[in-house]
Amino acid sequence: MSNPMNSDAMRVNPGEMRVNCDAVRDQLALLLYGELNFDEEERADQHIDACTACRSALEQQKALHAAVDDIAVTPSPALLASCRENLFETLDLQAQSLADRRVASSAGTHAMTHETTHGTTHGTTTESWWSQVLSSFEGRWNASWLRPAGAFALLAIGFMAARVVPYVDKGGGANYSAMDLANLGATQVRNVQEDANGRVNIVLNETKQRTVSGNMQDAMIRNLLMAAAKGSSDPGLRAETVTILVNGAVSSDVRDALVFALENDQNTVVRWRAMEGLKSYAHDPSVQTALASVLQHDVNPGMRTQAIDLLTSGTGSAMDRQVIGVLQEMVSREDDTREDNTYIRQRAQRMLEAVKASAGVY
Amino acid sequence: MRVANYQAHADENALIRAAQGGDGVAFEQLVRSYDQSILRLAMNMLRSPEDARDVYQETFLRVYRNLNNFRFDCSFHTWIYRIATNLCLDQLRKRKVRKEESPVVMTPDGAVDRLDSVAEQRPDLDPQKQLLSGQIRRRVKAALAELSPRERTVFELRHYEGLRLRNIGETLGTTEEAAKNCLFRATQKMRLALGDLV
Repeated sequence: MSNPMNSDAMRVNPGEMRVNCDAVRDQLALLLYGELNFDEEERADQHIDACTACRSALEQQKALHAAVDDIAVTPSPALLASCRENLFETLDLQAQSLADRRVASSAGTHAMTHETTHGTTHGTTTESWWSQVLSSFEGRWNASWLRPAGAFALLAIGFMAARVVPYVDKGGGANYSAMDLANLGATQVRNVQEDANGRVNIVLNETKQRTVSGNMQDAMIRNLLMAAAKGSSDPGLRAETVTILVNGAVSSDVRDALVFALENDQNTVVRWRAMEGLKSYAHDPSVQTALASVLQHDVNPGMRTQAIDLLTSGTGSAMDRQVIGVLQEMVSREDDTREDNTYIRQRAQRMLEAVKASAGVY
Repeated sequence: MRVANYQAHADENALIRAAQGGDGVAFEQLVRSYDQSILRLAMNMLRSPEDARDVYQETFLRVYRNLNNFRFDCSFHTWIYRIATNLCLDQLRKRKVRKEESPVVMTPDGAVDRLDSVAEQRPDLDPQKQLLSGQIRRRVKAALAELSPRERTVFELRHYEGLRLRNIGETLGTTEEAAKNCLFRATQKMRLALGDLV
């Protein structure tokens, strides 16, 4: 194969007709896609006009494109509707789950939910068992009629499970009893297949949860909370986790987790709560550095204003040299038109005067 | 036309901002604007209704979770296609490792493509043409399956989705030139595999 971008290979030269034909044929697909540049397309067109074999090759390429077109799939309206239904149900479940966690948190529950997933062959999303159960009763947005239907569906699932599950293969595969299924709570049949011997293989998506409890002195609780604050994809869960972690900020590892959330979390609420939790530790160099980073990079004006307040009121004279550099930079940013900049510059200037640093950048 | 496009773009940006502010109806409208294309892309790339459903679901869940991180640095179309194609690429790479079976399954009535049950039906051809067409289609699918995941992705985006190479490069986080080379390799492989058919 020649390089499609090598335009020299395309020059018409009667003495090198064979080379030209190869080069043109390599480019036929790109020609049909309209992806050759002007010169390349011009040379290819000229060559094809003069070369019967390449004209024929172009027709073949068109037939090939038509054959590829022929296997194009357009999803049926029924499949699309079903996908939409599943998506919005899942989103509702997540919204409900978030609301539940807020309720649980405000009731002072410091229990950590640990979810495991197993038996899933294709699934990419897992829902907490509890949120699914709750959502079955709560139903979708604007679909309150589904609530009794959901409750009935749960009853029906339990009823059916007690009868079907004892007959699931106990020879080599999963071995579930009715009690197991009841304990698992939410089980979805993902796929069913019958083999030549009449054995039925059922692929299940299962989630189960367990609860671990303890206080902030418990290393396991602390580690789980720190992992959730850093790794959860659910901003509501991260926000609640950070709120709880604040109570253990006396510990340096927890403080590090809060600093990480302050500097890196995408959600403003999470960052705000982390900053609130670090208020009492503004003298800590790592916290100062994080606050300086917020001052420079955070997109939220409220965050930046709070950061300058904490830096100027909480650090006293023990200000890190790097932070002083950041303040000097803020003071010198006259072209910064952000709405909070005047306030930040004034505060920064006052702080630099207090620590007897110059207002200019080092 | 340009005015109409600008208006559509402005409307979409307004929808995105509303959805970023927590407006569920705006988010649903965004989903409805793109979900048919995303499902079609996944169906064509993965040739498995189950996997296409998973990609559909995961794409929009990721859009939902990360919508506040969308900063209008690229078009929303590019962003959403980037998410979907990355998920499809992951799936294709997994398959290369697992050497998964073909979507065509044998039944007492002959070979049946499982996608046919969830795709829009085509007008019936006469039996002879249908047989010939069936053979060609199987060969084309087999040739597509032999492409590398990246070649397959670029080919699908160009051939079925009609994206320009510049947009494909942006979607896949690479250059237009790299996408062009990838498309070139893909079309050459297809031509070698199917040259005798046409």
